[in-house]
Amino acid sequence: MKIPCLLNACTIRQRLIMLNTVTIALVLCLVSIYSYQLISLENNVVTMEQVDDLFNTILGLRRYEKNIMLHLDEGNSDKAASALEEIDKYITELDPKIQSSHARETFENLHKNFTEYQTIFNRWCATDECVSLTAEQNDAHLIRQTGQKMVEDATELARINRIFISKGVKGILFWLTFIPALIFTTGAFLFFSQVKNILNRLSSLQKGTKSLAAGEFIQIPVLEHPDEITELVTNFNGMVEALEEKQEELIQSKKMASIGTFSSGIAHEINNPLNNISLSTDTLLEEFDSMDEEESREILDDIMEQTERASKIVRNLLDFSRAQSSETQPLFIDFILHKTTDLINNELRIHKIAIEKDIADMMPEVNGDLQKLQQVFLNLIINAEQAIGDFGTITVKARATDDGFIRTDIIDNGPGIAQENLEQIFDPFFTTKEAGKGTGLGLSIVYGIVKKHGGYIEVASTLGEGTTFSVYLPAINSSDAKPEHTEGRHTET
Amino acid sequence: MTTEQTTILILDDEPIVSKRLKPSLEKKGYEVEAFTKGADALARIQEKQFNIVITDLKMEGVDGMQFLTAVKDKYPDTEVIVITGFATMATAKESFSKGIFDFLAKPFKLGEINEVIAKAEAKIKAN
Repeated sequence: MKIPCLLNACTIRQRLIMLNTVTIALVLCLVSIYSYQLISLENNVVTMEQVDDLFNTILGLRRYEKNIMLHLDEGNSDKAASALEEIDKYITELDPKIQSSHARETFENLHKNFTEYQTIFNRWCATDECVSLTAEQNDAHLIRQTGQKMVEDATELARINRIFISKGVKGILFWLTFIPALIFTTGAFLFFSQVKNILNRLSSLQKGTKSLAAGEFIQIPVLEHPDEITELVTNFNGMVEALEEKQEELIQSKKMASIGTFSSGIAHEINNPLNNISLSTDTLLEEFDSMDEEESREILDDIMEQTERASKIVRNLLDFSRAQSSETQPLFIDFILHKTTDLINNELRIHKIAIEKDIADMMPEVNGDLQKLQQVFLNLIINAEQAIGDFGTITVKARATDDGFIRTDIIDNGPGIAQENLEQIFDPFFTTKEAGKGTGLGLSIVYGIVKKHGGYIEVASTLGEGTTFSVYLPAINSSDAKPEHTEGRHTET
Repeated sequence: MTTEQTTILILDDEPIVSKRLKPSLEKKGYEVEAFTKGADALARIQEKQFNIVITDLKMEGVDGMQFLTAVKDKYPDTEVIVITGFATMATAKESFSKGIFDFLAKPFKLGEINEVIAKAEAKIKAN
């Protein structure tokens, strides 16, 4: 149980151990203080009793002294002698118990007066019968005076003792109430300040897990407390990082999967320039001798042009399928949309789906990753295509909004999405397609990418009429882009 | 029929196909008309029957399948040759069910299509 840390640098475990140790030490301390106080109070009470006895014996002595002087009754001198012995015994007993200086002084006086009294008494009653003294005689005067002093001293001693006892009781009351209250208050303050710190950090962790569940990969700032929560936060951040990596991998694999859906269209598209090249080359081979130079040159130009066309198709596909780009750059939305529809055009044609573009001119650029945004629109168009089946129209519409976003609508005239499914379409693994056909990851990936670009998605659908997905991406140079759309998705019918 | 020139209509939205096929076939003695738009070709067959129709399948507007269906409906003895870059079993089956003469996958060579045309011509002349 070594605790080599300062309070702020301690782990929660160390702090708890420290707090418990301090509490136990304080309790032990209080118990010993109470015990000491109680024992000394008891001693004072015993002393008080003895002082009382002493006082009463002195009063008794003075009574015998008076009786002797007035010659009343017999045997008073014996009684007085035994009272003297008794007083002597009390004084011897009390001697070590009287400690405080004032009490000591009074006690010394009492002792001195007693010795003096004894001397006079012995002189006066040297024989069995005391010498008859009259009130005028010197010894009679002296003995009365000394006796009176003894009574005064004993009274004073009793008074001092009573004060001691009263002080002791007050002390016990003080230790019993004020000190526990003080300790309790301080302890509560310390505890709450520690607990508050821990709770605050736990709540930031709680927020982190909540936003992670909503698809936001946000790291939690790590504080310089080397304790369990910091370790938890560090591990959480590691998990966020790992999840983000997995998300990237997922995006990539989903991308490769989407290539599968339009690869037949791509093949068709490449076959056309290949066919042109084949026919042109064949013509050139067969007719070369009979052709003039101009004709041959025209055919060669055609071949070159068609080769360019084929390689452009392949390049576009490769650009899209390349794993790592992750570079954010200013992009025109119409450029992204044209590049995307180029990939899918043939596929749509095969399914007799017309694609209509309604893209506004002069829209500001958006900051983004070309491949990722292409994937967003491609996924949405493929979804629209799959919703339509055969024969239909997909409309791609883009406009700048008043609040600093570029809004792109992908509108299909398919069967629409049922209300009960609308709420879930962005959730990972949610799919209405039959088993093996859809992974249920397409829209959750779209959602993640758009969110990462600082945008959001809305979906509106009417059964039997079609569905509109609206992607909002923040436009560059529009400081008034409203960040309140943190929820990221909205659904309506 | 035997004394007349064999007439051929080519429909492909790729202009180079017509540009290369037309002179090559004309040199072989065929009468050739070429179109890049389905609607234009459809209009033309209302006016005239062609012995042989060569058509692409996937095109904007009136596509190849619609066009060849129209041709076979109107002129059952016109031989149709399909040329397509999207040659799948499904499209081939569908085309043959419409009664086409042959199905040629892009890319092909001049020699291949000439051979198919010659066979079609022989079939027409045999009838």
